[in-house]
Formats: sequence, structure tokens, C-alpha cells
Amino acid sequence: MKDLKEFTRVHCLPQQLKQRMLEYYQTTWSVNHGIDTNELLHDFPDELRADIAMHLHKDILQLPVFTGASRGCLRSLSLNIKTSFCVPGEYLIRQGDALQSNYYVCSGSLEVLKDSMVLAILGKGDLIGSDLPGTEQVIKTNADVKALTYCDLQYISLRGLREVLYLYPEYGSVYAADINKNLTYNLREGSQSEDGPDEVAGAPN
Amino acid sequence: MPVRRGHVAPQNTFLGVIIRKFEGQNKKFIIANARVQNCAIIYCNDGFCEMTGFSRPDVMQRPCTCDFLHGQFTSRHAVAQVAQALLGSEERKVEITYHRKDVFGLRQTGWSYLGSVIFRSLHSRTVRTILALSWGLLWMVKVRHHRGLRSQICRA
Repeated sequence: MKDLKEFTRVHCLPQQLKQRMLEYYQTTWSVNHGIDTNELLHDFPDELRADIAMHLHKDILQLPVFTGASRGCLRSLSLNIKTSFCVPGEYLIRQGDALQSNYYVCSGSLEVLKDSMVLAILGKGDLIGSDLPGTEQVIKTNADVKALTYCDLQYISLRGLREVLYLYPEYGSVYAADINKNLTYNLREGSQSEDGPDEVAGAPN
Repeated sequence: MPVRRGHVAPQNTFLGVIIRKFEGQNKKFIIANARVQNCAIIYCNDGFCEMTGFSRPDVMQRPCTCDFLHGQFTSRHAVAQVAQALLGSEERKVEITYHRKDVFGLRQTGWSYLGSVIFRSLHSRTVRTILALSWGLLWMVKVRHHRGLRSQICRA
């Protein structure tokens, strides 16, 4: 904490930025007590790392979209998942940014904003991110995502996801088919204007 | 997860208050933003998903007239009443039959819901005036259809 305060003083950070840094540091400490998960796992062999990762991230892995994945595929996916958290008022994602990961909300609530209009309220159990349109194109986000409370998140990097799906192509097609049924909000630019709300099992128009 | 966090206290947002209030009353509800085109649903609670059989990704972003809940026994008159109630801004009570999500292609028989739907239009006094609508289903009617169209009514 003292180092942090020294840092902000030496670099003349504006007060608001300093407050955000201290707030984040405080919350990080209360969440993991100063232990860096990634550093700790780095020293362990793959098998053990995968076992630990499967346990730490069991929340996101129990989503229906992952039920079609084989054991090996799930374990590879779990190594690409990290935990994170968000502080009230902080933006998780900004409109127009390149999307790096899909996020799963373990607790807390967030709102999806576009031009100051609330498009969705996200809470526990929601997955937010994007589907993978198939090609290697960069995915630009179409809205902001802001935290309303302290949120615990688990996220899987899209690059890691693509790599795993490349290694397990039979699951890749399952994932592509199911992901839209699990995404509470699709942040990919252009996904909203594509074929509008399609027929939901038997509902006549 | 530890309870103690940092210094920032989450502000009580208008929508947060509504959600907490309705959850506290055990209502099944959705919230839609009337300023978005087609009055899209921005939130639905777990109770709503359980009752209708639709998951949250299925429900989000759909128009708040809830066309996905309509089925064989939904009367056109009731649908029109709902549409009219949504255009106005006062509290309205409408009776309508909704259908659960069809799982095994058995839409013709099985469960239907007949409930009182209360519409409430809520206006926020803040500069960012979000007009939010919410409704809750109060009781449930089990309608079993045999040849003789016998029906049983009970309270949920």
C-alpha cells in the first residue's frame, strides 16, 4: 500500500486515478490475500494445473454450452480461464474496443449501456461476450458494460478459446451452435442487426 | 468470497431498487426499456424463467409484448389489450393465457398459464429518464385438455 502511494506521488497521478488504484488494490487484497493464482499454478505440472483450474472455475464450466466438450477439451479450456472482479462504477468493457474474452458473472450485477441507454441488466449466472463468427476477424464491441456492484467474474480469453476449438473440431461445431443460447447479451458489433429474434420452439407469430 | 471489500459503496440505482423490491415480494417479472426500439426486455428474474421455461438468453432483447409466450390458447383480444396497456402509462390488469416453452413438441396438451398481468409504468425522476415497465403473474391455472375439454383451476 505504501509503495502504491509512493508511486502515485512520484508520477503525479490525478486524484481520481489514484483513488481507483487504491480501491482496486484494497479489493484485490481482500479477494486473494496477496497470493497470485497464476504465479502459483505456473510451477505445477499440467495435469495438476488442469485439476486445480477445473475446480477454481467450475462455475463457468457448468454452463450448458460446455456440456458437449470431452474431458480433454474441458481441461484445455479451464487452463484458459481466469478469475477477476469489478468495482462499482468501473467499466468492464467499452464500446468500440476489441473484445478479448467472454465473461461469466459469479456474483454482483452489471449493466450493458449504449449511448447512455440501458440495454440489459446482468446478474449471477449470466454470460456476456460474443460468439465466434468463424473467421479470424477482430471482434469489436457494440456497447459498454459497467459494474453496478462488486462483481466476481470468471473469463475465458477468446484467443485461448479459438486455439482449443481448433484442437477439438468436433466440439467446435457444438460450441458454435449452442453459444448464442447461452450468451445473455452478444457484444459483437453487427450481431444485433443480423436475423432478428427467430422462432423460439413452437411459438407462433 | 469475502464480504469485506474496498471503500466504494454501490450507489442505489433506480433499477436496482425495483429489482430488489419485486424479488422481495417473490414476483415473477421482467423489466423493459421503453426508450429502446421495440421496447426490449432488459432484465428478467429467475422466477420468470422458471415459470415460463425460457432461459434468460432466450428472453433478453425480445419485445416486451412477450410474443414468445403466446400459443394456441392465447386470445387475440387479450394480446391487443396487452399491446394497448403497454402504450399507455397507467397500471393495467389484463388476463391472458400464456404457454410454457415447448420442450417435446407437446404444445397442444399440457400446461398453460392463465394469470393476471399487472402493468406498471415507472418513471425515473433523474435526468436519465428510463421508462421501465414491469409485470407479474399472480396465479396459475392448470388446463388439461382431454376429449371433453375438462379443466381444473387452482391457485398457485
